[in-house]
Amino acid sequence: MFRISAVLAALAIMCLPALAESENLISQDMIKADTVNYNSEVVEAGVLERTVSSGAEEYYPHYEILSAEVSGARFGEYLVSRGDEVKKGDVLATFTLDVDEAAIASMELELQRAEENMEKTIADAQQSALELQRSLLNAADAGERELIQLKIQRAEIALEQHVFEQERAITELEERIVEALAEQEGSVMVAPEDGVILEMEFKHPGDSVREGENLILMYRTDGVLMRVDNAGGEFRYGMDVVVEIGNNKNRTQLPGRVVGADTLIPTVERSGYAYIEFELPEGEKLMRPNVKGTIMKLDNVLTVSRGAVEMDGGRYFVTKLVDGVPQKRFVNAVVSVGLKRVWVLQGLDAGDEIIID
Amino acid sequence: MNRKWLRRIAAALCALAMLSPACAEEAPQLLEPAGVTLATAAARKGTLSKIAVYDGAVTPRVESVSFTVDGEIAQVNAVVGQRVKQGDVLMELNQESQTERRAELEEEIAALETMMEYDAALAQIDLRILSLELERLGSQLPRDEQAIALKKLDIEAFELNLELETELSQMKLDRMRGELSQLQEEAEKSAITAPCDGTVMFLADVHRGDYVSAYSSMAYIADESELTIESDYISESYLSGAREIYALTGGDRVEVQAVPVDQAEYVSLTLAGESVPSRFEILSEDVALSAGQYAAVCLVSGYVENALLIPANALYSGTGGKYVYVIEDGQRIHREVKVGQSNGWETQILEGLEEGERVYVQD
Repeated sequence: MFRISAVLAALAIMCLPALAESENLISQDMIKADTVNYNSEVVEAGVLERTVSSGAEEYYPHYEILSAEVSGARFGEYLVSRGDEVKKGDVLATFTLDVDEAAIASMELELQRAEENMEKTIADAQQSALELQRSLLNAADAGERELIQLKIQRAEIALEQHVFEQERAITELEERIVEALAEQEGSVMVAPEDGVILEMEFKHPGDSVREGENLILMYRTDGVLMRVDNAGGEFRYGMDVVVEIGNNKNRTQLPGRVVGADTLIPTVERSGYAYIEFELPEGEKLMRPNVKGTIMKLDNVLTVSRGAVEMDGGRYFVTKLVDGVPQKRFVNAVVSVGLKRVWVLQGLDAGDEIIID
Repeated sequence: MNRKWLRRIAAALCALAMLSPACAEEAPQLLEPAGVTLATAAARKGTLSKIAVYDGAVTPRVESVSFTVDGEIAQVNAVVGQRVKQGDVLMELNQESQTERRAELEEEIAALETMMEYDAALAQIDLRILSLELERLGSQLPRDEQAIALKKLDIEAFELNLELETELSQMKLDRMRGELSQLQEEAEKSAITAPCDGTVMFLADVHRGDYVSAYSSMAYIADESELTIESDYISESYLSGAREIYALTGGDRVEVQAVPVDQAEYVSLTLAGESVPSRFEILSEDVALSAGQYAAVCLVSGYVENALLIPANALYSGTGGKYVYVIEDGQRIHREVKVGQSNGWETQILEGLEEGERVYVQD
C-alpha cells in the first residue's frame, strides 16, 4: 500500500512545476483593468454659477416723521387713524395753545403809547419850528438870520430822524402782536405729502405737547423697495435679481435690481441692508417676498463634478482615465463653497475623462 | 525492497522534480505586476504658468457728500435708489433762525445807515452853528477872549465827539455786515448737492429735526458712467510679478490694469479695520459691462514658454536629487533629471529627459 502511495506522491510532485508554468491556467480576463466599473465624466466647458436667496421685506423710502412745531401746546385730537390714506394738506391733528393774553395786552398798550408819543413829538416840533420862524422875522442881522435858519433846518432833520426811529419801533410792535394773535388762533398738523399713516403716538385730549415731539409717522406708497439683509455683502450694487411674491402655490417672479447697497462704503457706516428696485404690478400684494440673485456666473469655463476633486498635501487632484488607466493628476482648481461644480483652471483639457467616484 | 529504501527513492524523486525547473532556467523578474498597465505620461513641450484667481465685481465710481457745517436737518430731498443729476439738492439744513437773523440784520444795517446819515447832517449843521457863534463872538466889541476861547474849546470837543461817535457807528455797522456775510456763507453751505449724475446708493438715516455734524457722510452717489473692477486685496508684489492680468466676466475676457494703491492710505485704512480692495482699470472697450457683475481677476505668473513638462507626481526625490522612472520595454527605469520650475501640477525638466519619453506617474 505504501509503495503505491509513495510513487503516486512522487509523480504528483514531479508534475507541479509543469503546472506552474502553464499560462493557460489563469485567465487574462481576471486581471484586466477595464473590467473595473467607474463613474466618470468627460471634462467640458460649461457654466459656473452661484446664486443667493434671501427673505425680504417691503421698505418705503419716502417717509415723514411729523412732530409738534410749537411750544406750550395742548393736544386736541387726531383726525386720522393708522392705515388711513391721506392727501397732501389734509389736517391730521389739532392743538390748542396756552396764550399769554396779558403779554398781548401789554404789547398793544406799548404800541398805543408809542403812537401817542410820536404824535406829541411831531406837534412839539411843529410848535418849535413856528417859534423859530417868528424869531427869524425879528433877526437883528444877517448873521443871526443865518443862525436861526440853521436851527430851523436842524429841527426839521431831528424831527425826521425821530419819526424814523418811532416808526421802526411801532412796526416791530405791530409785527409781534400779529404773530402772537396768529398763535392764539390754534394750530394744526397737516400731511406734507400724499401717503399712509403708519404710526401715531398715543395722546389724550389736553395732554401737553412739547416742541419737536414726534407724533405721526407716515410714508408715501409709491416707490416701494425690497429690503434684504446684506451683512454678508452678497448683494452688490447694480446686480440684477428676481423678486418673488405670492403664496406658496402661486409665486410671481418680478425682475429687480439692487439700487442701494453699502458694500462699497466704509464698514463703520454700513447699515447691513441692500435695497432692490422693482415694478409692482397693479393689484399685486407684497406677500411673502423673497429675492434671488446670481452672485457669480462664468460662461465657457472647464468644470468638473465636486466629487471628482480631492486634495493631497494641499493640492487638488483628479483621477484621469488615460487609455482606460486611472492616473492621478494634480490640477489648478477653484473650489467654491456651496457649488456642486469645480472650476478647473489648469491641468485638464476639454475632452479628458475623469473618475467621479 | 524494504520500506526504508522505498522512502529514500521517493524522496530522491521528489527532490529531482523540484530542482529540475530551477536548474533549467533563471527565476522571473517580479518588479512589474504581470498583466497590469502602468500609469504613464509622455513628456511634452508646452507653456508652464500658474493662474491665481480672485473674486471681484464690476463697481461704479462712488462719491460721498457731507455738510461742511453742523446743523439741524430741515429737508431730505432724496431717497435710496433715486436717480439724481449733478447739482440736485439732496439735503438741506434748517436755516429758519439764520434766515430770520439775516432779515433782522439787513433791516438793522439799513436803519443804522439811515441814522448815520441823519447824524452826519445834524452834526454838519451843529458845527456850522458853532462856527457862526464863534464868528459873532469875534466880531463883538469889546472882544470877550474868554468866551471866544470857550467857544473854540466847544468846537474842538464837538469835533472830537463827532469823530468818536462816527467811528463807533461805523464799527457797529462793520460788525453787523460781517455777521450778515457769515450767515450768507452758511446759507450756501446749508445744502448738499449731487456731485455727479448717478444713483443714491446709500443715504444716512436722518430726518427732519435731526442734528448732524460737519463732514459726516450723508449720502453716497454711484456713477455708473465710470466703471472699474474691484477685488479682494492683492499685494503689490503679486501684481508686479504677474506676467499677465485679466478678468473674466460672464463669457468675456476683459483686459485690465491694476490701479496702484496708496500705501499710506492702505495702512491707515487697515489700522482702522477697513478692508482695502484692489482696483483695476478696464482697458477693453468692446465688452459690455454693468455695475454689480461678477468678475474673476486672474493673475498669470511663473511663465515659462516651450518647456519640457511632466506631471508633478511623476517626479521623485532622493538623496541624489530628483529622478523619474522612464518606461522602457514595459519596465520602469530609474533616471536622474534636472528640474526647473513647477506650478504644482506640472514640472519643467531641464535635463535628463526627451520629449515623447514616457514616465511613470505615481498614484
